[in-house]
Amino acid sequence: MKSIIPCISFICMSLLSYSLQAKEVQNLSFEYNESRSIRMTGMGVGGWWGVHYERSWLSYHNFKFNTRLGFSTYSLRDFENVLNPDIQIPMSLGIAYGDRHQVGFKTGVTAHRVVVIKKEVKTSKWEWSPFLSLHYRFSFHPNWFGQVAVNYIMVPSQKSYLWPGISIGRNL
Amino acid sequence: MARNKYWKKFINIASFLLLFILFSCSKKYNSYADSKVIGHGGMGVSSTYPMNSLESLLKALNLDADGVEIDVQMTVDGVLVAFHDEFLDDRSSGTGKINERYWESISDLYYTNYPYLSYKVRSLEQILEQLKAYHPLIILDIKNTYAYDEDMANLFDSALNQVLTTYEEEIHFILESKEAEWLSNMQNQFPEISTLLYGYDFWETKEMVAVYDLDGMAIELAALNEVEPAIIQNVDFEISVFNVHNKSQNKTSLDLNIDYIQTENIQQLLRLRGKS
Repeated sequence: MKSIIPCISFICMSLLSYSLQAKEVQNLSFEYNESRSIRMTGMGVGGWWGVHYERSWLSYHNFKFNTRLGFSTYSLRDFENVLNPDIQIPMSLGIAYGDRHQVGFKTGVTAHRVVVIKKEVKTSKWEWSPFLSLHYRFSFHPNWFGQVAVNYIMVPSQKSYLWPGISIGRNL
Repeated sequence: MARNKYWKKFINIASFLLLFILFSCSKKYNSYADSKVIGHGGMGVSSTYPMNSLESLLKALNLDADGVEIDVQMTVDGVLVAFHDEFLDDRSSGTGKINERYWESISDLYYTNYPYLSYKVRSLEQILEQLKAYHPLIILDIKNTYAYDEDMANLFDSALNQVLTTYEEEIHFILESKEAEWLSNMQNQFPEISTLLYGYDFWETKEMVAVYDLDGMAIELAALNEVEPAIIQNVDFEISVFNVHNKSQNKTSLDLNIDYIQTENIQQLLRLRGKS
């Protein structure tokens, strides 16, 4: 299962980039349509909570292509009560369809470090965990939206997590 | 005229501040110094640190808790494991019953409460080895004494005796169990160790504590609601409470002069106790 999901996401991304290139060649009506938003998420790919900055670059009819950078932490102080945060930084590429009601798909990785005891010594190292994400977004105000998502997070050397997320965000 | 107006305003504000300070100072606090702050499984059930993980227990002690509560299970080869449930499935990367697995097959497991966090499941000995430097008070919540199987029961007693003997110099142990007779036997072997009977009803547990001559009881805080505070405060045995989640429950536990408060919110309880 772990090996299938990265393959599927790779194929999706390849198809997406191929279709983008093909359509650009044919001079289809791609528009450079920049929009930005920021959102607060409960759970989600950040783990327990997260702040995410999202930027849409291109649109084609009702499709929007976007990138996202997030930040999250489980705790700022480690188990020795010293400032030494656990950090999660999710990054993703995505595509969304719709306007007021929107559904979308994202794929990306989370860079994360967690302070633990290994071989009886305090340690932490950066790891990368790929994830897939499906979301539904509803704009209840011209500038405000709510979002629910289901994420499939694959943590190396651990099990995979089917992890929900709920967000509220603002268009900038 | 304008000057007078400012003076009036100043006097009003100053009087308000003075009254506020006077009332704040007149608030009475009980003496809470006798109540011990115990981290329930370390940092409690709502922390992102999993209960009974070494990291959670260390965090509790580094926040200056007086001690921690640790749940104890045993593998089929007689290794005591710090773990709450009988089954591994819900909280860890493993499956099955702990007491049907060998330690070797458990030693690489980790807790799975949240993505990215990889805290290991550890044996009681691995944990005590790290905690002993803090000279803490540790309540061992004995989840199963294996009374239904003589061999397992003997294996468990021998493993526990070894742990208690090895660390008795550095750690102040308290044993908590539902088995009154077993606790009574342990008390005979280790007279310096306190024994708390886990109960659901105050009066029934009180009677059992007296019959078996134990040191006290461990009971859910909510179960004490029906009992007069004066009775709880004046009993001649020790009381430990659990399921203490919020500020009001922390405050109630302190007001009742509970000996060991197994709290889910250590920092708040320490702040409240500090006001005494």
